[in-house]
Amino acid sequence: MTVFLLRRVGWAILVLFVVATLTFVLSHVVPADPAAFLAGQNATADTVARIRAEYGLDQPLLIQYLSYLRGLLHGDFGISLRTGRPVSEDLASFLPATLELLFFSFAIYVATSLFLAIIAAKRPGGRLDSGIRLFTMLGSGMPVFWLGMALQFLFFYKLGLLPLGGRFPLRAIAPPTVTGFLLVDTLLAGQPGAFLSALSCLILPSAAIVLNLLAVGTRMSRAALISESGKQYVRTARGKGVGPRRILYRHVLRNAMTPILASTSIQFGYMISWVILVEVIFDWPGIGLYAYQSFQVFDYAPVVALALVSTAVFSIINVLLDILYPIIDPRMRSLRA
Amino acid sequence: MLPSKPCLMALAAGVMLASGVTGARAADQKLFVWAEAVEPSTVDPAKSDVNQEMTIARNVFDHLTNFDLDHPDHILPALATSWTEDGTSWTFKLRDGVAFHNGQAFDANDVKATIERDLRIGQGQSYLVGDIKTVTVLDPHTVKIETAKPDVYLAANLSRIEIMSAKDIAAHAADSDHGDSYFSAHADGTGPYKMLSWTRGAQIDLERNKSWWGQFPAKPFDHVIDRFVTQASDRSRGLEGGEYDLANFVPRDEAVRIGKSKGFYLVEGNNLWAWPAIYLNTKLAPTSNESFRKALVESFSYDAMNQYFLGASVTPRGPVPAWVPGSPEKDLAVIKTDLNAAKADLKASGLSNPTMKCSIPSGFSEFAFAATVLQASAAQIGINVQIEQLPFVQAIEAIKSNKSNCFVLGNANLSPTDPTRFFAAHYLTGGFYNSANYSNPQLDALVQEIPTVTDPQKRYEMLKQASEMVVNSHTIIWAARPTTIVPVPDGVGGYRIDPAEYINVRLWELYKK
Repeated sequence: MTVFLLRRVGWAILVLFVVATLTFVLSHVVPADPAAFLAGQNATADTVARIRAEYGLDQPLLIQYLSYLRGLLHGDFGISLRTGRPVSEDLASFLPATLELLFFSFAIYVATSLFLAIIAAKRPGGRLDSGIRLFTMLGSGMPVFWLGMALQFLFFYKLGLLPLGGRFPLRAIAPPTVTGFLLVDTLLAGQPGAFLSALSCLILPSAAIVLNLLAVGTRMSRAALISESGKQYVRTARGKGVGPRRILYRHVLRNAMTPILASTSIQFGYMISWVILVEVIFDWPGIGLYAYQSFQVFDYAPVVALALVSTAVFSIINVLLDILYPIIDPRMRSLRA
Repeated sequence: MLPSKPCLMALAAGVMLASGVTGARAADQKLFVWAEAVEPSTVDPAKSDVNQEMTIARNVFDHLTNFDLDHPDHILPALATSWTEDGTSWTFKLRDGVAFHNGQAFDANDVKATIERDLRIGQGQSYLVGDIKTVTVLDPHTVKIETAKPDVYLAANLSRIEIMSAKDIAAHAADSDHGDSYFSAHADGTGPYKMLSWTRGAQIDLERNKSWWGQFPAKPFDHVIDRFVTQASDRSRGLEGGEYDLANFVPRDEAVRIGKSKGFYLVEGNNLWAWPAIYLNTKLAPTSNESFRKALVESFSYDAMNQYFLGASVTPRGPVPAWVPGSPEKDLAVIKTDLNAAKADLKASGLSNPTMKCSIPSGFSEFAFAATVLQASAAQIGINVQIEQLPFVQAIEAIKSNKSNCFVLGNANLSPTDPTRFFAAHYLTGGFYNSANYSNPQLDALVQEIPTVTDPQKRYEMLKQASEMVVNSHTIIWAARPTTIVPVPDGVGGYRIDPAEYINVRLWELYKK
């Protein structure tokens, strides 16, 4: 197991290196002069040259790359031209918001897709199964940005039920920052009202993400459950008089978890990319919005940092799932051995 | 088998609770929420250059002078109560009893330190006072400013220079970056609002400076949230839904619709833009051919642009808007579509079936529309225009490096009275936004001389001559000069449009109706 994990971590580091290199090269070969943009419309050529030198943009690309890699090894992602702050400082400000949205959406996604899959798998081809298929396909068929805007239109503009955007209602007072996760910080501060406020802001962005991914997750889980339900051991259990609830939760679900987890980890990757779009639509102050605004002015450092952070999160989740497989399904242990 | 009912009930309860929470956000009578299109990069007034940065600079800091929005050539006292001019020397008497938000008293040293810092950094609005040579403190309430050459617009341009604390500047001078990173996040002025906090990615919170020397209206807003709302549709919906009290850069059709709906009214006024302006590259064929450029200017459908702006725009005749004091606009020839003349000029250019490329910054619907109008107009006389949308910095790089024939942008100036600033960045040799790569030493010299001339009539003639030079160079198509239209909720009073500003807000003039 240890060797396996070390190998996976080694691969993850190699992937991060490749991503850092590719993103750096791609973002720097595009002809653009962010220093001129930063200097402002009336700056003199001397001022632009000074800024270019300050940020090392006057150096050859290879020198910039080596300097960037050296910084990365020390946890230094560089300085953002747009915010004028170290990117690591910006990430520390924005990452909790993204992770909160990501984890909350992921939890809702896993619970909902499994819940719908269980219902659908009960009577394949039945009314409920068809209804769920239609509902999830509708969600997946709509582009996430459109879905987000439609949800805003309905729940903010028409019904006045939920906030338009942002992480916390405008006229409410946010709790002191402890973890950066508002759901946690509001509880730590003993403010249940503020917790609900933070939760109300999470509902629409999460719904946009989850609804868009639900079809694949539900269909994959449904297929895994149906496949397991048809196996000999299930019939044997039924014949022995084991109740349907016990069969489902103790046997079928557990055995179906391996393919479900595999599809979930892939969906998590999509979720990371959807989060960026959704943050822009809902003005969610996370790294997606940060990267979007940085990219508009070719502020390279945050763009590369975002690619690295999302790759790292995706890699970590995959390693965690690799750890989970043999725990959930003991057959995997022998396979790995 | 499945806990569907409890789940649904929990979901319903969650939504109800959440809606209860949002609904319970009792309208805070003293809170004002401004929806800003972009988060500022800095709150350092020495580097503030764009709309979102001006929101903080203008409201948190004071200026030596101010000006009457309705009559921009009426320069009003602010931190300076009076001033005298003697050629290149200006003496300003300063207001007594003014304090910075941190409690430090304001005096002449603050003026000196601010201007010297602005000139050293060379960004933001420092270009407006670039001719200042020295600043001398005569006594705590008198400061003398010497310019390299006479500058009749200096007092007006000082209305755009935010005064910082000399002690703050000195306290951070020893930082490795001379305090640049400190000031990019901390704003401490003498102005009507204090900056309380900056929640990155979300908002800046401001509080009314109750000991401000100026006058607030009755029922001013005590708290202000400068909320960053990236999507134009969100700003529209948020304004209409009551989430925001005012918003900038609401799409025009939405602004008109909202402003005419129940509970809102419209405020319309002049602004600083020729918007969009299409620059034609003089250094790359075929736009390097003057007759070809002239044909493009003549073929352009100005009516289409005015229709796009719902009729609330005019076709510029030159670079200086009519509202600017001393503008020669009314005496310049009308620019209009003339396809016959365009065809004749294209023939005179000697080019047959020419093709050109136009790089436009993405994200601006007006730019995309103007480029499409150019494409359709040019097609009528046999010119093929290829359009590429690129991120801003990439688009401007394309034209600066002569990889594109045209670029679309606005043509603006933040000075309330100084018309030469409409030329500096856009038409003079080496100007940052001189996207036509146009160079005319005669124009450069003429524009440089205008501020030194004290006779208004002579200045007018020079300005007219300079404007005609730009017009006759056919390096630019001023597609339109729209007015600014802002929908305002009935509950908010005092909103006025500053013509020498982007779409911004003078918080100290607003009040709750």
